Amino acid sequence: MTTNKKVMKWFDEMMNDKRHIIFIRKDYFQIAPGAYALDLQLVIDSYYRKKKDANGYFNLSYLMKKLSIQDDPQFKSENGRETKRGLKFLEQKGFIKLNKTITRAKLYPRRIEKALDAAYKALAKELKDEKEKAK
Amino acid sequence: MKKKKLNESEILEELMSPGSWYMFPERFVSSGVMNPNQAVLVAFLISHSRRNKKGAVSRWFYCTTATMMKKTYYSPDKQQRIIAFLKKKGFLKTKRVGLPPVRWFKLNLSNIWDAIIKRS
Repeated sequence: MTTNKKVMKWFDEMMNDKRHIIFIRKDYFQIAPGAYALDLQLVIDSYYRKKKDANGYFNLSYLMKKLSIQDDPQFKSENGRETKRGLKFLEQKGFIKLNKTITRAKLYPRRIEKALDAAYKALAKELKDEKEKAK
Repeated sequence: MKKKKLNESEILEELMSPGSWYMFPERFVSSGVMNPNQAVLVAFLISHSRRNKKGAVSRWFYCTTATMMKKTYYSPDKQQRIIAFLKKKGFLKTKRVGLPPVRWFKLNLSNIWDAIIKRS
């Protein structure tokens, strides 16, 4: 098999291996730019996978594992720093609440829903205005 | 920056696409080859390269700064920084064509493959 075919085969296998693919909802980019959307998606995935305690907090080990920073609890590596920045951004936006050591988080789904609604409304308004301007 | 006017179907597509997803291979980040920002942009470019043509990843395709900004919300400066890194690593090629110039990309899958396989 030629190298190109080998690469294409590897690529197809990688993209079809659903266990190792993270599906990011496109509209999360509207409320969390770039890699922050990946963090938001992984926090939401963790929310559905992990058990919640009495206060609604759940473990972020799934996110750490997916981003390969499970051995870096201090967030010293490049990936770790980026992830910490992303989680802090989400906390600042009010979508999640973190504990002191950033090992557990609490999700506020209603706030995410509201932010998405607002983003869609703003987009619709912008498009409507553009259409009227064109007329 | 000049905004592109959208037609009816594009507006609908924009508004009615909450169920659409980007496929993000975990190995882009877990191999340590790219940081999450760079990996997200590569995932976006893969998805963008496949639009209208399924499976055609290794081809030239265009993506303007405005489109990339609208889809990923990366600022033009950040886009430039990430693209410069990816170019330096040999993961993609770029060229500017036309007047006004439009950015064209070509992903180099074999280099991405080499980098990921070497690391893992």
